[in-house]
Amino acid sequence: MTEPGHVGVHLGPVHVDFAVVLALSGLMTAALCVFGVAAYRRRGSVSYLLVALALCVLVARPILGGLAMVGTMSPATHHTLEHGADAVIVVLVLGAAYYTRSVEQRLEEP
Amino acid sequence: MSETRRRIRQRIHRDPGVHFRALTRGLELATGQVQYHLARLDDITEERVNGRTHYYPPGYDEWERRTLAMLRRETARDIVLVLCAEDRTRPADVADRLDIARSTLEHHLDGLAEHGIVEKRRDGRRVTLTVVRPEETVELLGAVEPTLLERLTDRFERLVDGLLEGAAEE
Repeated sequence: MTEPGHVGVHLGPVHVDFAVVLALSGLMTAALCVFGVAAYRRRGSVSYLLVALALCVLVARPILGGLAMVGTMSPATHHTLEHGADAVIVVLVLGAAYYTRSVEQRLEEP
Repeated sequence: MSETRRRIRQRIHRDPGVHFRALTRGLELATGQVQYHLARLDDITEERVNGRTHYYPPGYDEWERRTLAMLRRETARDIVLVLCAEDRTRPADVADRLDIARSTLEHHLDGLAEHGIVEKRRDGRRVTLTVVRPEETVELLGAVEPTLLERLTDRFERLVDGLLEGAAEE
């Protein structure tokens, strides 16, 4: 990467600090995803399923970043997929909020 | 087995001695729904302890079931934890350690003594408290105390519940 204003440590072709950030974010989002899936297994509700799915999509982001970094994926594809993932996450979280309300209404019925 | 019934069964296996309301609250199910499925779960034992109905997977005898039910109550569990850590303890020390009123302690001790979990020994005018079956009690405390992963999942659940309810109210 040779864009102007770019700062970073390079080890041959490997962009070290970027790789570290990607690995860390991958691990942390994976941990968060484990809680999401565990909570869904406990609750079994549509809302929790959507939250778990949103967290799974979040895990996909650092993976996409990694693929782009090693050159398996072109920067353009990476960008499209990454912003697509953002959109999917938003839809899933909105859906989760929507279903929470319908569950509440169902439980309130006598 | 239906999905709902499987989840109820799984929850009881994970939280032996869970009481009825915790079961409905934790699974987002209506009271009648949980009652319906519980009546059809043959391997689950039911035990009424001090006004609450608790549910157990197989493998616990009556003393263990009653002890688990008592250990599901926070203050009673704290008292047993203090008594397990120290061999012989005076009631005043336990009340001090937990920062609870003496009357609160006595109320819980009555329940714990009634089910043979804790014993009050009178030595002249001094009363000391001991755990009747220390090893078994510590083991059951382990079943009641959630693991780190379970505790974090509990908190995550509470967080998501709070966030989603907040979003749905907007």
